[in-house]
Amino acid sequence: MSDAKRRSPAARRKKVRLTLVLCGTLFLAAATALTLSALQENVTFFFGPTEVTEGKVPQGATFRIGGLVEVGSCHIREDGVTREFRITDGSNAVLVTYAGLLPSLFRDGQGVVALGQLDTGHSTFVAKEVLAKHDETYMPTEVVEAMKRAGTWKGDESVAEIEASGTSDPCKAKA
Amino acid sequence: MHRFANPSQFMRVAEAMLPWMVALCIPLMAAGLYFGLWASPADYQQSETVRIMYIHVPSAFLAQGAYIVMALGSASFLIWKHPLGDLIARAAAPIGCIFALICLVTGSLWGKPTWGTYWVWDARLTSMLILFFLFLGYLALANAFDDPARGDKPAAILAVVGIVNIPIIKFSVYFFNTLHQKSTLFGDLFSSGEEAGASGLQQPDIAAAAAQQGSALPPSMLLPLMLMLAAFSVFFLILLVLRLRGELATVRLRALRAGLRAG
Amino acid sequence: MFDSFGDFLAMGGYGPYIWASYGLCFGGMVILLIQSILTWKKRRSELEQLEASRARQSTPAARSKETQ
Repeated sequence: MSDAKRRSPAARRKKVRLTLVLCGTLFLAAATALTLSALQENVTFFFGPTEVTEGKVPQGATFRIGGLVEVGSCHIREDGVTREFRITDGSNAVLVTYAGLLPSLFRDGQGVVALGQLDTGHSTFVAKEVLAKHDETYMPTEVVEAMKRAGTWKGDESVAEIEASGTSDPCKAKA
Repeated sequence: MHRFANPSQFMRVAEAMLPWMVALCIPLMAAGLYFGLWASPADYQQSETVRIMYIHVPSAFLAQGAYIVMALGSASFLIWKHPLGDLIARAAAPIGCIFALICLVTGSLWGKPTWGTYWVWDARLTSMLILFFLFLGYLALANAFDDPARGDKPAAILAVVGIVNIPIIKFSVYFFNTLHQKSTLFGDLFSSGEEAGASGLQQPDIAAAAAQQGSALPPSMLLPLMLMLAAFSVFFLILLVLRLRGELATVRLRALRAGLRAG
Repeated sequence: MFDSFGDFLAMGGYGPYIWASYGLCFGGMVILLIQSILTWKKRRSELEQLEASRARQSTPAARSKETQ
């Protein structure tokens, strides 16, 4: 029977089912891709400082802003609780204030994502939550220490300069 | 032509391989644990929490692998009516479900000390949660009916439809801004270094320092990850054969009972 | 690498997170393994029972057995 003509009804039905499944999956994949690319802005987890300064963010709404902590920008205000620092992407920076507990990874140059709102003057971002964004680089502590000793470590160079000049990072000290 | 689709013949080969797989899995797992928990360095940023990665990444990998196995089995069942396809899908679903859960839980336990939160609704975490729900949905559909023959088709359709989620999980970290970092292991395939530095909020000088090291994951951390990946993969195959054996016995049992009822 | 067993348990202060991760991971894997083996054993003994009863008995006895 298996060697008989391929045109048997069973074989034809199999072919129809194969086409159905393949076409269905392709159609679904295309639909999903289109939906996701349409949604890309809404699914965006955070906006960059440039998008914020250019006003491409939801007005008056809570959103997230992501970028690097500008080196040397973090200070504690007179109230002793509120920290302010700038989040930068290299070309633009946004001033952020935050009264909560900073994650232990928080430091100069660290990638962070803050949740909050722009204040009425649109100049300061008032954060309700600050998360550290870990990058995809891994390195043993000993290697980093050895590189620092050898002077080949570039990672915290700017931090070292600040510490050498006497203005240590107050945010990190408290955290 | 359907020699390999014959369940009993397939099981004979699979069961012959079972002791070898166990013999391979135990030393791999032991070495993975030794290097993962003890003989590997702490990360310069994450400190010791980097060790969670050695089980988080393999379980994510296997949850997705199990889903692909489940979807392919379901597709072959829908198209060619291979009974083995349905059985493989039914065997793979609970395994994938547990690995997806392990991936979510370990990721969350890593996220708390590193990011500062157990959970965020970013594209990677959400799509992984959807994968877990797809497994749950499949299991519910496949076992919802007293007569399993009624549940296998809707379950198989769900498995095939849900396959679109797999590329979404993979590319979510490249396509969207996410809190979750990009892939370290397979990252080079999708983005060049400078691109990752700009969009991934990576400090450019750190990226340069890493490049100086040769790789984003140094050998001392790559070794436990690779050992765990291999161990988890073999463990998955062992579980698959064991569960397949159970599913096959269930089918025989059902056929026998149906025969008795008819006779 | 760690200097002492105490350091190993403490995991640089991240002990609870790391040990919970590994515990839940391997706990889940072991439960899955045991459940897989038990399911198969249960099915196999049911199968053997059924085959034995079918070999020695006529349909009525087997019928009463399958309703369990």
